[in-house]
Parts: sequence; structure tokens; C-alpha cells
Amino acid sequence: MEVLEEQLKVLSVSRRSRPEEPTYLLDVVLQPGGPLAVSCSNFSVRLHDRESLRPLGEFLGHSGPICGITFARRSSDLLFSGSADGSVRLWDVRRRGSNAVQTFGSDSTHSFCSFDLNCSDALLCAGTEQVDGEDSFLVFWDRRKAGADPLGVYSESHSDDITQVRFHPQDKDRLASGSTDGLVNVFDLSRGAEDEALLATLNSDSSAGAVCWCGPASSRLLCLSHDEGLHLWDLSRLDSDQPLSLFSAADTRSLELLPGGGGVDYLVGGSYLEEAELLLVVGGTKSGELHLMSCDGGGLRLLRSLEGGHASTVRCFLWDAQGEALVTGGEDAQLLLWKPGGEELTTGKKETMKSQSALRLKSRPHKKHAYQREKTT
Amino acid sequence: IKVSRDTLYEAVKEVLQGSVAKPRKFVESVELQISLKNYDPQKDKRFSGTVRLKTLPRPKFSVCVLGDQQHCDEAKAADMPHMDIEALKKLNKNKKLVKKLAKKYDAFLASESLIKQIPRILGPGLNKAGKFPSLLTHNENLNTKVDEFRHPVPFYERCILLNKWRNWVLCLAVAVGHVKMTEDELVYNIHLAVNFLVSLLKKNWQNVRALYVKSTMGKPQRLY
Repeated sequence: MEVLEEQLKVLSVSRRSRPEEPTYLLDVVLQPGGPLAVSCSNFSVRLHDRESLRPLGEFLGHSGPICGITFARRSSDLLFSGSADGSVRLWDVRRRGSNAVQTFGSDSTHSFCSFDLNCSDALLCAGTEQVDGEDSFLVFWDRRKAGADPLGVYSESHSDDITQVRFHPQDKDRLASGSTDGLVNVFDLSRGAEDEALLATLNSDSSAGAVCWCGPASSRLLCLSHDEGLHLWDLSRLDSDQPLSLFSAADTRSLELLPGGGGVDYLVGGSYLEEAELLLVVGGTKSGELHLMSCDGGGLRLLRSLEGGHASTVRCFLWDAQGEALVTGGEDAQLLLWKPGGEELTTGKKETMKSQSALRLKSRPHKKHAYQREKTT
Repeated sequence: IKVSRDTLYEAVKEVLQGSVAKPRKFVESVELQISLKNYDPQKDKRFSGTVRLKTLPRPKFSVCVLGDQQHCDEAKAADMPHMDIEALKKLNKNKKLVKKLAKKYDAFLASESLIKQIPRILGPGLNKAGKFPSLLTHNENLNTKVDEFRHPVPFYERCILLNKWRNWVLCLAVAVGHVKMTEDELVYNIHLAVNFLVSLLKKNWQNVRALYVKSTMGKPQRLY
């Protein structure tokens, strides 16, 4: 954890990728060895080089807002995307700009606002918006069966839009779902029917936006609500006397997280960095600063504030452990790469710390010939 | 807040007078309607959550305590409906009975030990009804908790199609009280709700097109 914290403390913008058209960058994902995939508000999915952020291609086809993207675990060539257009699509990263390899759909009334793929790359699950003012569904497919109908649905556990679906990182049968009804449900799919599968229901008393598995053996759940609340629950305590809640804040904006008082204006999201055993929560302020925080039972602790990055609301981030870099994307259409001691090669605010490679690039060899030629004329 | 106290009081007066002039068979709710602008629900962050008000926005609000021994004793002393784990187990996970229980009360509070077991004992029935309990700890006095149980008032986007102009107008409705409340109570709740909701919008007041307050059957009074 210390090594990572030290790295986070010296992050600065190293690369900036700015597409020509104004679009919001909503989600960014990465699989080791592969490219970055970014979902955009114009219904496209774009690929970028992990180190240079160079655009590598895009996938078009969705006709509605994209609710999520994910790579398959075992193959960074396979990219899934889910959309409010009622489809989950599979794209082959090697065949950029082409149509989806596979499309998964369900009932025509289903509009998806979340989806995920389990850790064995076999099971897809999508969460729907509320249908007919009554029901909302979790829809399941076996992704290995091309053109197949859903395996089935769960319809009883939520009463409103299902905004996040998250499979457990190691247990292929464990699933968490979050909804605007405020509930986060945990299922063990190996138990069969829905009311047997429902293991736990946690109440955020608000509207659940993001859900993230975290902690030792990924036994904890982080939930961020749409009105900037945060909850951390420990599921290993389900069968004990201890309370499930490790930490809870109804409004994180009121927490004094920054030196000199003051806090964040909004939360971007959370991500569990397994190797470092760090639950990273990112928040932002309206002026464009980003604040990296660690979260545990003691609450939120500021690790590093980042400036000179985005000009508008930041919507997504990820930590690339292999590349030791932070990637952020936002409503200003920018994709940024932050590295420890990184220095931007193009225009943009610079930090005082300079990396070796930056120094090398800055020093140009003295042009003896040109000088001599000039002198004689 | 960009709405003056005078405007708030005037509007609330009109709403209350309107409900007295045309009394209904039920106690009308008072709701705050906000129409948004410069907000694209397809790409902007979802605007949803709960706003905590000072006075309960519902006239009759029944809460049932699903309690451990201590909480059931407290509930009994406070003359509040309650059930212990044995009573819940007697429902035998029967869907109809759980549905009936959900319909009987407006909200549920549950002790830690019980709340963990609800999926196992009752199944997802309370979830489906939108009535999954909130946690009741031993640090709080039961009565204050219920009084304070600012039944979280949900707010969420609704798109209303205006037939004439073929425009999608984003409008939210939030219940802030009822017509049996005093002017002061309503003004306070509206003030709280407006401040909270506007604080969550990306561009704050730049995202607000208009604000209205009205009773369920009454005429909307413009605030902004």
C-alpha cells in the first residue's frame, strides 16, 4: 500500500487525448496487455493505446446511451458493452470499426442501465430500468451461446431502475446489484431460484449509483449514492453479531477532507486495488480538481489532490497497476494519463517534477551544420 | 436561495387557501415541482436520491418496528406496531402474507440482528414493495428515531411530453408536506428541499427552469 501511495502522491498529467467532437467520456476499462476502451455519450466505444492514449479505432452500433463496458477476463480481444437500446454487444478488438460479433437482447420493453460479465467469462447479467412503473429485472445470458435468449430473469428484488450490476471478482456465482430504490442486493446464483439466491439486502436509504466489491477476499461492498453518499459494508459479518456497516456518510460533500477544511463537490467512483489492498475513491470539485482518497472503516482519507487536468466533471477513472498510471475521462471529452513524476509533452499545466524521458526529449542536439551554413551566407 | 422568503410564504399561503376552499376526501400532499434546463438525462449524471426534511411530509405515517427483544420492548412502551423474529418466521416466507405486511405499513425499521435475516426469513417481498426497512441501532431513542425518520423522500427525473410544442420537459416532483401542516413547517421544508436539490445539480440554478409548489389537486404556484 505504501508504494502505491507514494506513486499516487507524485502523479501529474503525462498525456492528454482530446477527440474532435464534444462528447462525454463515461466509462474507461482496461485488461492487462490490451488497449483502453472508453464509452462515449454519443453511443460509441473507442479504443486508445494504453501508454500514449493514441486513438486506435471505434465501435459504432448502439442506438442508445451505453451503460457500461467490460473486457473479458481471459481475453483482452473481447469487449462487451451494454446499452439502454436494450442490447448487450460483443466486439472483437482486433476488428475495429466493424459490427458487433454478437448481440444479446431480451424483451422489447427492457432498457438496460447496467451490466457485467462474471469472472469465468461465461455469464452476462444486465439490469433494466423500471418497466411499466412496477418491475425491474436482472436479465441473465450464457454468453457462449450465440444468438440465444436469456437464461432467465430475477424480478422480485428491486422496485426501481437497476443502476449497477457487479459480479464478484473471484466467485463466479456471486453478484451485487444496486438500484435507485436505494437497495444493494447480493445473490449467490448457485442456489437457483431468486428467493433462495438472495443472500443479503443492504439499504443505502438513498439511490444507489455505483457498487464495488472490495476489501480482504473482496468480502466488502462499497456503495456510492447519486446524492453523493457513501457506504461501506462488510459481508463477512452477515452471520455474526457485528453490524454490517463499516462506514457510512449520507453526504460526503459535508466531510472535511481537504487541508484547510472543505471537501469534494461530487464523487467520481471507487475502485479496489487488490495488490495494494487499497480502496481508492475519487472525488472532484467544480473548479476541476480531483481528489484521490483511500476508504476504509475509518472513513475517507485524502491521498493526493490533482490539478491542471480536466475542465469539467470527471466521469470515470482507472488505475493501471502494470503501467503505474491513473487514467481519467470526463465531460470535457478529454482522456488523461497521469504518471508519477510525469510531464506533459504538449500544452497544459506542468508540475515541477520532471521525468528522465521528459528531460531527454527537451534537450535537442546542437545543430552544428545549420549554424555554420548560416554564418557563411 | 434565489427564492425570497416572501415569495415562499405567499405561495404556501395560496396553496393552503386553495385546499381549504375546495376540501377533498383525503389530506392532500404538497409537492415541489422543478423543471430542469441544460440537462441531458442521456448523458448527464443521474439526478436521484433522497432529501431529508424536518417535518414528515405525510399526514399519517405508520412505522412498524421489526425488532430484537430490546427494540420490541421499547416499541411496546411507545405503543408502536412491532414484530419480533418469531412473528416474522410465522409468515413462512409466504409471498401473499409478506405482500400484505408490506401494504399494511408505510415504512419499516429493523434492528441489526433482524435486518440481516430478512432475505432468508421473508424473501424479497419487502424489496419488491419498495419497503425494505432502514436500520435501527441501539444508540438512538426509538421515538426520536421515528420522529426523525425523515422518511427519505425520493426524487427522480420524469420526462413529460408537452403535446403542443413536442418538447421533452424534464420535471421532478418531490413531496414536501401536506395541507395540514403550518405555513412555517411547509416553508422550512421547501427551503431545505430546494437548497439540497439545487446543490446537486451540476450548474446549480443554471439548471433550473422553473419551480412550482402545489397541493395534489390544487393549482401550481410559481416560486421561480
